[in-house]
Amino acid sequence: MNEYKLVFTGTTGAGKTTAINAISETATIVTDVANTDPTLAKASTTVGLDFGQINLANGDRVRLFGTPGQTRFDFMWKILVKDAFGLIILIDNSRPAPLEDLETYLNGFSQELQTIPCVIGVGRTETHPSPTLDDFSIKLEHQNLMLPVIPVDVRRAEDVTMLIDILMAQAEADLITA
Amino acid sequence: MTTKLNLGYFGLIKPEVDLIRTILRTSSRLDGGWNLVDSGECDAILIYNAEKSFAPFIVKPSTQLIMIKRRGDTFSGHVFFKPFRADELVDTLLFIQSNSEPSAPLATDQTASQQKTYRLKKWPPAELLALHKNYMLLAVYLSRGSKTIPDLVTLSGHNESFCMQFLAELESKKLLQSEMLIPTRHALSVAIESQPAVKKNFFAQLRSRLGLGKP
Repeated sequence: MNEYKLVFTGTTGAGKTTAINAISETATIVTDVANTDPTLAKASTTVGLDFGQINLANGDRVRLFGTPGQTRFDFMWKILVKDAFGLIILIDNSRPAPLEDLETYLNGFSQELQTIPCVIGVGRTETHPSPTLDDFSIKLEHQNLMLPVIPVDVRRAEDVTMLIDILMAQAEADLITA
Repeated sequence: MTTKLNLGYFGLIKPEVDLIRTILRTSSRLDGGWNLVDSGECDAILIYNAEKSFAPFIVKPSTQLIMIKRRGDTFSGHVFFKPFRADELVDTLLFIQSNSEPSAPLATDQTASQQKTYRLKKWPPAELLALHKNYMLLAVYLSRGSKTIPDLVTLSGHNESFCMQFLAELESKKLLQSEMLIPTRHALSVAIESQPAVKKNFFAQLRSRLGLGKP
């Protein structure tokens, strides 16, 4: 039996816990506490990690980890992403500075982004269309990265599976490249 | 342009069809380049509430599927909104039209294209990726190192025509870097066959579990 690790990261409130809930077969283990940040419209927030799991037919498992969003817990990001087969960065476009949010995670995972597949999922684009998806691509370009950026609603399982499909596409493309 | 392009529609109500027909007839920018057709071979199809079959329309590999959602709906993927705005519809059709010209270099010299490798110079704009729901994955493949057309066919499960259509669209936006295939690169087209079996099996298992399938 093999185990694979998939990591969700992103700002507080971007939907990491929701995304894992959307596809996990097992009850998601969360380490939430009451939210004391008045700028966040949510009752609780993750301070440790979230954990879910997908069981495959051959007995293999995909372990789903959500990092804490706050940068003061960034020491956990590198621990969680070690040996992951993919990284999903979730951005909340309703926050004041989504492009700067993205930069935070690109810097936090800069070393890992050189090797592991990564996709950017941008939420709440229907109500907050700016910055555009192309703005995010330009931001990535400035960091010498070329990564897929797609609009997502992580409450929808199909949106989350689409993110994973893109990660697998990246990994397969890497296998076919000299 | 000497040949008119055909636009099909699926799932639209009569007033919407009439509106689109009027736009095609009266738009000076389109210059009569498009026919709205009820059946047969199409260069593009407007689709509302998509189903697996688009009969009586005939979908070619190069046919552009334009998915329609209502404005304000939550959505994923690449869509076109209704109620229609004439300028948006015309922009979209002009884009498709510009990439279906017979002079498109990638479409006219298939042999030469087969002997090249391609990679993205920069990530395509969302507008281009929205032209087909599977363009995103092709862009992903091209963003991860140089690929031949056979590589893209193997990875995507789409046929050569579809892959070449996307390459032509990238080329028209100057987003594509191409090089002649060097001899040592030949073996890489089938490299996926020799990829680690464990990883290959994992992707297949996970896709199956998530209900994802290749065409």
